[in-house]
Amino acid sequence: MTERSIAYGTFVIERNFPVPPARVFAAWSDVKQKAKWFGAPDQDNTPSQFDFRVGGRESSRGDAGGASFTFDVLYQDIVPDQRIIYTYDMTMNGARISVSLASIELRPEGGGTRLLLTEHGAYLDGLDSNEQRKEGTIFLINQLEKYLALQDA
Amino acid sequence: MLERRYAAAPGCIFAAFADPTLKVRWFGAPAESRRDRSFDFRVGGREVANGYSPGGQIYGYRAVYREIVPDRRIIFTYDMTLGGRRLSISLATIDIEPQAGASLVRYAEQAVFLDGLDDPWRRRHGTAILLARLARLVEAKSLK
Repeated sequence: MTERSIAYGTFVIERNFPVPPARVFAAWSDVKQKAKWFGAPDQDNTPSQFDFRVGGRESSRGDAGGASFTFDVLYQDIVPDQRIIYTYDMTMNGARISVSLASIELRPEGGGTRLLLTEHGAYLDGLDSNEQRKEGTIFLINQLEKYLALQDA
Repeated sequence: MLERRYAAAPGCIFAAFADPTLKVRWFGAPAESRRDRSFDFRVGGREVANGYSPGGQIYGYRAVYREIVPDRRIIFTYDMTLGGRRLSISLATIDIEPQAGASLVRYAEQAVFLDGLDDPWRRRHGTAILLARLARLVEAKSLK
């Protein structure tokens, strides 16, 4: 029998990009752009479902380190160029490892954009942790930064 | 995090969340101010429990169940609106721990409150009232 536990955590990532908020927003809202940075660098990250509107869902699956993962999103609040709020859950080899509430805020700052990402999570049965999720998310935001820089070149 | 011990078995607590005829007895707006309601208790299923606010506006509650372990755990996300404006988005977890002849329920909620329209203190107060109503239901029921 699985030992049941829930661990709670919150993390915040702040980053400045030298492009306007509309460009950063498009990297989240346009599936072709998002697939270029959101996910593992060595595989096709195109989601099987992508419906970017309030109440819409996004689904994708992928493999990492010999395990298979699913990622299912529900978009909860969208203010173009300013705010995206979504909830998501993840499974690993069929077991649910987390349910999260994420908010992305974009603010214009000196011709560029300040991104503030806040994530609240419930991590299940010891299968994941707030620290690991923060690390993984920093990795994604680093990829977003590179993607926006390339697009700008 | 709200923690409360109930003099009822975990299966009884779980049923009060999972069974629509029981849930309607403790959750949501009073019967006279209820509006739309729907209930699909399974992972990925939705729940709607709208009602009228004292000012006559529509209070909207829409949830999606994200994780269910029978008699042990329920995780859902929900948002609330008032007159069509989104007030908050929440991630709620209910952990039901069996104890000798009773259950220890831990209700935790993490939330984003939008545009200054609501706050965590009011939400905590409202949730504590609901959990007290739940106690009246399940503790009465287990005496039968």
